[in-house]
Amino acid sequence: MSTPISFTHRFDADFARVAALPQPAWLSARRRQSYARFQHQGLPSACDEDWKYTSLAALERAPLAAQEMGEVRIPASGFDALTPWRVVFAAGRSLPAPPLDTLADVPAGVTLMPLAQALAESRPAAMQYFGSLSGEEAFAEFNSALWGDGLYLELAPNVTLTQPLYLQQVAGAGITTPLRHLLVLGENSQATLIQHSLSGDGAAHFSNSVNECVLGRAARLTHIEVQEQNPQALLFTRNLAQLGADSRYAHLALSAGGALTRNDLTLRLGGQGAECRLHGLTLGGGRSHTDQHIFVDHALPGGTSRQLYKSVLWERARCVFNGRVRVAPGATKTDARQANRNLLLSQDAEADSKPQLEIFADDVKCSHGSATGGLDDAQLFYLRARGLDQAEARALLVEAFAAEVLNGIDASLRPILASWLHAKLETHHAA
Amino acid sequence: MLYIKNLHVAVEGKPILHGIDLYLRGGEVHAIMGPNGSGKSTLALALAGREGYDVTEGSVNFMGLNLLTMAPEQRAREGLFLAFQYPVEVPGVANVQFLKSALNARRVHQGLPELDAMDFLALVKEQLLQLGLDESLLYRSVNEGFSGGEKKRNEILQMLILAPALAILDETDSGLDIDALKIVAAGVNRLRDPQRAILLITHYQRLLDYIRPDHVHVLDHGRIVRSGGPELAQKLEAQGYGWLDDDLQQTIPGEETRP
Amino acid sequence: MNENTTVRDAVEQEYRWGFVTPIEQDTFSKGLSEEVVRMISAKKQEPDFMLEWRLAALRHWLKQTEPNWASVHHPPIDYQDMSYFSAPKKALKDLSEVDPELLRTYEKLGIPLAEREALAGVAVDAVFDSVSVATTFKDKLASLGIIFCSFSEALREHPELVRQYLGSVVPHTDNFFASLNSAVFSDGSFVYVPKGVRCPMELSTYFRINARSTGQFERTLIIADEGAHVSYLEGCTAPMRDENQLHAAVVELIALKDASIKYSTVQNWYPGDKQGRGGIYNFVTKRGECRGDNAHISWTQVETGSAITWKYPSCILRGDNSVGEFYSVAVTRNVQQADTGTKMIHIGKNTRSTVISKGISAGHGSNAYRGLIKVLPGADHARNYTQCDSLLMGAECAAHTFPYIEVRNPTAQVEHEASTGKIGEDQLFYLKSRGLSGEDALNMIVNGFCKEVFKNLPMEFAVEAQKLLSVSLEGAIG
Repeated sequence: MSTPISFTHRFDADFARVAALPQPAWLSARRRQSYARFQHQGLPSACDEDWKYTSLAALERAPLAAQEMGEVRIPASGFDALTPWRVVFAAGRSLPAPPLDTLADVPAGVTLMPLAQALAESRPAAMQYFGSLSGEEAFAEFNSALWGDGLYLELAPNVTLTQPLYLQQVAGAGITTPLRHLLVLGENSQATLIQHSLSGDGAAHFSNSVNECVLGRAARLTHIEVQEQNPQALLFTRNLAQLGADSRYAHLALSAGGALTRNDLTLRLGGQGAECRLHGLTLGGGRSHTDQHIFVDHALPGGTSRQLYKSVLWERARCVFNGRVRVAPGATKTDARQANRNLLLSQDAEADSKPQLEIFADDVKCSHGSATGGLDDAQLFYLRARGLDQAEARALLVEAFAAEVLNGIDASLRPILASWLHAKLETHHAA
Repeated sequence: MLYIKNLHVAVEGKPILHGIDLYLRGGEVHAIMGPNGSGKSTLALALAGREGYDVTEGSVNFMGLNLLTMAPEQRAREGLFLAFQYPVEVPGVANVQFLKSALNARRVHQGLPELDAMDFLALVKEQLLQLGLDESLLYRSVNEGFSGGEKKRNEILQMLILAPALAILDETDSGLDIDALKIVAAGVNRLRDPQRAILLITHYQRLLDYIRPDHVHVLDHGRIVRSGGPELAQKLEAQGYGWLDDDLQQTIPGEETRP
Repeated sequence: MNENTTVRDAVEQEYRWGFVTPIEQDTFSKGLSEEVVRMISAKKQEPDFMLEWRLAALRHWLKQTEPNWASVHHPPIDYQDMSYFSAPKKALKDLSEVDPELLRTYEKLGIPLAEREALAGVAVDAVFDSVSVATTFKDKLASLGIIFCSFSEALREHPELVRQYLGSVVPHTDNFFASLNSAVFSDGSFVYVPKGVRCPMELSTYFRINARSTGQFERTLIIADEGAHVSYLEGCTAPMRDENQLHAAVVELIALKDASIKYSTVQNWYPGDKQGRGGIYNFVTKRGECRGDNAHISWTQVETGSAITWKYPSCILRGDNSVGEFYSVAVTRNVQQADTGTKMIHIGKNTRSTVISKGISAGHGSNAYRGLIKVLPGADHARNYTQCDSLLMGAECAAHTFPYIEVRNPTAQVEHEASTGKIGEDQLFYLKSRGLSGEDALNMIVNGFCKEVFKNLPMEFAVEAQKLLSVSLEGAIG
């Protein structure tokens, strides 16, 4: 608290600006409420169990100023080739504006528009679900108060979004206006979302985004998040999803770099027979700190959840895995598994693992495992005995370890993700 | 010994057996054959009292007792033994401890004194030898990490030690090589006795080369569609189950008119 | 079996002994203050350093608040509403005043009639004839230079040892309950095993001279000097009744170079009635330090009693190649709550730790494993293997697993596995189809589930623990 203005009080001007935007009265009232709560509760401290391993001192200290949108360089992205449907948010605003009507050939039954517009038009699903999952955690309230732009995607029942929707979020220097997205998938609909967060340049920045996803009965959502941050970047994301009966949710998070990245993923299996597969990979070097926080709430019977979170850490990187599974009373026939594997490649790297099971029902199958260590000497030796040199052997083993998180990913997406992974690891080996 | 009358069994509300009639006398060996999914294992598990195998109609009399109202352990203590198709692993429980508890539960029920550790071990070791099993098997956890063949032989070991009045062998031959099969068959044959009945459930005729049945029944779609002597098994072996379908037209009306 | 019976008879005979020492009549008025601490210390004629230490602990305690992170719930405890010195047990007149449920349990466990009164807290003034046996033990230990006595006696006879080691593993500032204990502890056990000596018998509180009820704040200090070995047993299988609801004990173990300490506990404090009323709150701090190279500390616990159990027997693995172990069975039923586990702190090179935890929840019981595995940067080639399994019986129970794993060395290998599941219907049916009763089948499966822990208990203790488990789970499933 030695800084002149604490983090929670730096945003009065920004708040005044978003509060003055043309918007329904209820929305500005809600913003006000959230802003008051955010300021009242302040940032979490290390005494808060959810922040035990992640200090927010860097955020408090960071010399960040709110930015009017300036020039933001939009880096070329390998994902562009994948789909015609690309939406770019630069420094918190969509580009070009308005962006969404430029998307060609979006199937009937797909509604894609700025979230603010959906709320202004009082679209029923948007009104029903906006803010229904985001919660009252500090960064959630921060987002609810200050979000500027974001996407609204609604799929009518039985509609399939035939190509992935590619969402690129490029941060400029300083404090980027928070983004807020809402996805509502009707019964038996299907979509793939690729959400790519990256730093526009090497300057320090703070970004925050919140996704709320609601899956109707038997809906399917594949959500791939790719995070590429510069060594100064501070990134806070929250993903909240509500799964209807027999729905399937697949989430893959690939996180690389950043001074501090905190990803919260909260799922509620709120319908019988819902399934989720959550995979995550953290690649950390330098002094990066990545905190993957997962909460899977089996609220109703017959749900299945799988978690596989891995990290590869070198130099002074640190990764936190906090995966919590709760099985509510009566949620019988739940089948939950979680696995965390951390590979430490240097003397100063650190992995903190906190897999948690909280079980309030008896007829369940739940397990978790966590393993942390270095590369296996026997495997290294075996490869070298077959003629690979030390560096090749290491690279091979590291990549094999990391690539496991791509298992189960659709064959059309896998190659591009695999080459992204390969390139990231190669940069490290070269370094 | 065992009198099954018009037995109907449903699993999770789905009818599997549609009226089985079967009568086994002491000293007899019956074989039940049939294609996969015909209801063979359902019959075995229903007789052993597995929860979830609901008898919706019919009766089973076992040595003068109403079998269907008895708990699984009561059935076992009265002398009914099921060799499981898939023997269950019980981690941490030594085989020897399990066997001794099971035997003594039966002995106490029969009004016999419990066997002490020495007598019990003597009994077990002799049977182990006959089955070609290593003594170390006794000290491993029940079925845990056993090979398929070891599991099946372990079932036979239990059978020989418990010396049941009625032994039901559910696909005990599956997954056994010919040497193991011979050993298992020899074990079963040692148990043959005018006081005992044996019900063999099998998909293949192979086992019947070594254990000659007195009667063979063919189960299909939850009904016994054929009964005969050992020659029936040979016909099945030679011609498969397909030929049954041709005759089915005649058999089913016959069953329907049965009182 | 015959040998076991003999051993147990001996144990039980001895064990009555702890209850015959005349009970202190002094009672302090309720409340906790410096004055009370001074009075405790004066009463016990303690050396000055002890008083100073107690006062420091009290001052620290007053600044702390009760921890609330454990997965347990209870009404607030009023620390100023208890008496902190030798509150004599309120003796019951006869067995008719005792909870009949408790008496039935004694019967099932085969506790001799004469002992039931003592255990249940009925005033007993019979004199037992086992003084000579105890004296024989004491002579034998003394001839080897082993000190085994009450904590008070140790303070009188060996103040230098107490001063050197007390609080060196669990400092008086450690946590709320440890600070409280440090300020007001009444008595406890002290063990010192000299260099190179292997203690020839299991040391047990059963055999302790002057083993009067040590009340709610017990303090145990065990030191194994270089190359020494000792095995210590705490507790007993019989449920003990105590009027003091809060128990906050502290146990400190110190293993020097090449030494080993094995500490086994069977805890069966009164769990309260079916609603948990009157049950003991057992908030214990147990920690050992492998202070020298190649030291070895092993904790084994079987926890079936108490309304609330809060304990984390831990190991600080400071010496190179030192080994820490934790084996635990915790059973909760009715409305019992247990939050238990361990901490393994790897500091030295090649340190190894093993954690095996088996939780069984039945009825409305709640069982949490909470553990920390910490590998510090210097702990090259440290190894940990942790396995936590939970068995659930009944739709209303709860089982939680909260491991914390912090690794800061790339040559370490840390593995944690946990599973939670219902007791296997297939297994129950298989055993029943071989003639075992439902109860025997359950016992067999549960004992199999706990086997890896039981095999680490001293033999006669293991037999009792198995029996205890059976009794604890009676009627747990239909």
